[in-house]
Amino acid sequence: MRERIARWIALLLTFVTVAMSALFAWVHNPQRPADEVPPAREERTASGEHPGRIVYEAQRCAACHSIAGAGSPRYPLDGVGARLDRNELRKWIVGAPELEDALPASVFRRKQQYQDLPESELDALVSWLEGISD
Amino acid sequence: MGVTASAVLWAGVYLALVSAPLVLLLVGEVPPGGGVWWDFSMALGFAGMAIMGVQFALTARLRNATAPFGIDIIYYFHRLAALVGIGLIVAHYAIVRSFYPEAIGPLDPLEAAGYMSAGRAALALFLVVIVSSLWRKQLRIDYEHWRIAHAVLATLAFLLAMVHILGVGYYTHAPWKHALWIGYTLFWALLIIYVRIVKPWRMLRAPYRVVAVRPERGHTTTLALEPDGHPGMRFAPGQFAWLTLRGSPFRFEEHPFSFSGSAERGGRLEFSIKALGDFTGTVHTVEVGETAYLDGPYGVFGVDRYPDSPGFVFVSAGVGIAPVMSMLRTLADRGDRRPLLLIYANTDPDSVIFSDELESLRGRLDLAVVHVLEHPPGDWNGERGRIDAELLRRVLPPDYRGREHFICGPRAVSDIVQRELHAMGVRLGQVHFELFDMV
Repeated sequence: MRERIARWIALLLTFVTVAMSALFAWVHNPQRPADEVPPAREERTASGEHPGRIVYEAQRCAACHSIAGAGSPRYPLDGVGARLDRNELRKWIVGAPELEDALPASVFRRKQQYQDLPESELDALVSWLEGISD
Repeated sequence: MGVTASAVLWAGVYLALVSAPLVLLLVGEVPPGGGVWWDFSMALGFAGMAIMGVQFALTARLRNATAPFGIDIIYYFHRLAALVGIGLIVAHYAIVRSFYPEAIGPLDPLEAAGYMSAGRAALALFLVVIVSSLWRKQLRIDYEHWRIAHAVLATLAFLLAMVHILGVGYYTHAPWKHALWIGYTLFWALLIIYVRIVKPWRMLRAPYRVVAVRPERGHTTTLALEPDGHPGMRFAPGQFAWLTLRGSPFRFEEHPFSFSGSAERGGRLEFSIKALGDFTGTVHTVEVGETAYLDGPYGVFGVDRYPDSPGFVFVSAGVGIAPVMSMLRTLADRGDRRPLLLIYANTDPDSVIFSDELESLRGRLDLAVVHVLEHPPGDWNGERGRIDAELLRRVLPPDYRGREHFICGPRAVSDIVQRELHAMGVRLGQVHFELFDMV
């Protein structure tokens, strides 16, 4: 009898946690269809061999950003070239001091390491991001 | 508060504790959605972690919280909850791995971000903890080593997972949320300190002295303990305690044993222990005057929870007689005259623990004893073989459906008797048993 009750509570636990997780996902994504899975697009940008793209991959930017659904969807970079100019792109990459209030503290801290990127790599990355305009 | 109300309350507290982190995620400032699957996966990870956190509380032996259920069922539930928790955490990983492989980064810890490696290590450790618990015997892991490793690895896994959560930081950016998660971790850390330090320290300050060591039949030894400089503990017959012999309570070399003596004999506590393993095999060498430590009493297996029952049926096998003996001795000391039936299974006459005392108890109680021997001698007129449906139908009294039934023995015996009693019209709520051998 008691074993049976324990099993029922475990079942209830599974239901409550999965339902709350689904509710959380739904509340956060009101505009997205429920069955959306990001498309695994082979050709992410027109400039696959762009040196900036190589920097993007080497620095593992996809851990926090996505382009065309590839990478973390938390901070998508689709259309970033149309939103930001060259100078702004550079500031966002390296976490310039004036962005401290605009970014979560841990993200701001993490971005500081990119100030050590060689100038040529930073330039290449900025140029490549400029080209992502849709 | 009644037992049922208390059980509902504590089950509610449990579900609230497990849900709290998810509720926290939903309130206040939250980052924009990252897609339904992404956020679903993140929430599953948090839910799994909340379950894993509360696992520490389930095994902290908190007396008030465990009393309405029986601590054996709490350990059983701890096991079920671990499976639910790991299921959610694996689902969290699997969804991100399948749909967002770029976000997860490289496996090599030299290349991967530290907090991502921490998450992977936590998942691996949780799996090790669960596999080594579910299959400890098959993997031939010694109980003492398993116990220490279980606590250390589970704590390490939990801390690594917290490093992962705070490192990723998506949902914990707001300072108050960050503080709450750290507080949540701190709460479990304090609980570990309570279980591993405060509780053993209290046990150390309330030692017991071995006052008698009595050999019994069937390779069993009865130890009698008395409190040394403190009032001792009151227990209900059928309950058990964790016993530490020849060691400090800080070393966690403790083992659970049912009280076998009467609950009506002042501070004296007795345990009847059969030599079955490494620890129990040494109990006969204990000497009068040695120090012992106890954590207890625990358990809901006992006649005292059913004062209105018109009588009781006990089914025991081997050393499973210990808690039943405690109930019989207590009922005899109280002059209880309700009808009692004991069905007691053993391999042969020499292994029947307390056979003489059971005979003398028949004079003090309205007690019928049915001995069942698997290998009876040639002149045996009693029941033979094992306890089965046919035997139960033959020996149970006409009013058995109204009585409370207590079963204590190996799992196989317990399962058969439960099933047969239920088939014979006894409600499941009237059949009581203690779950042993959990790990």
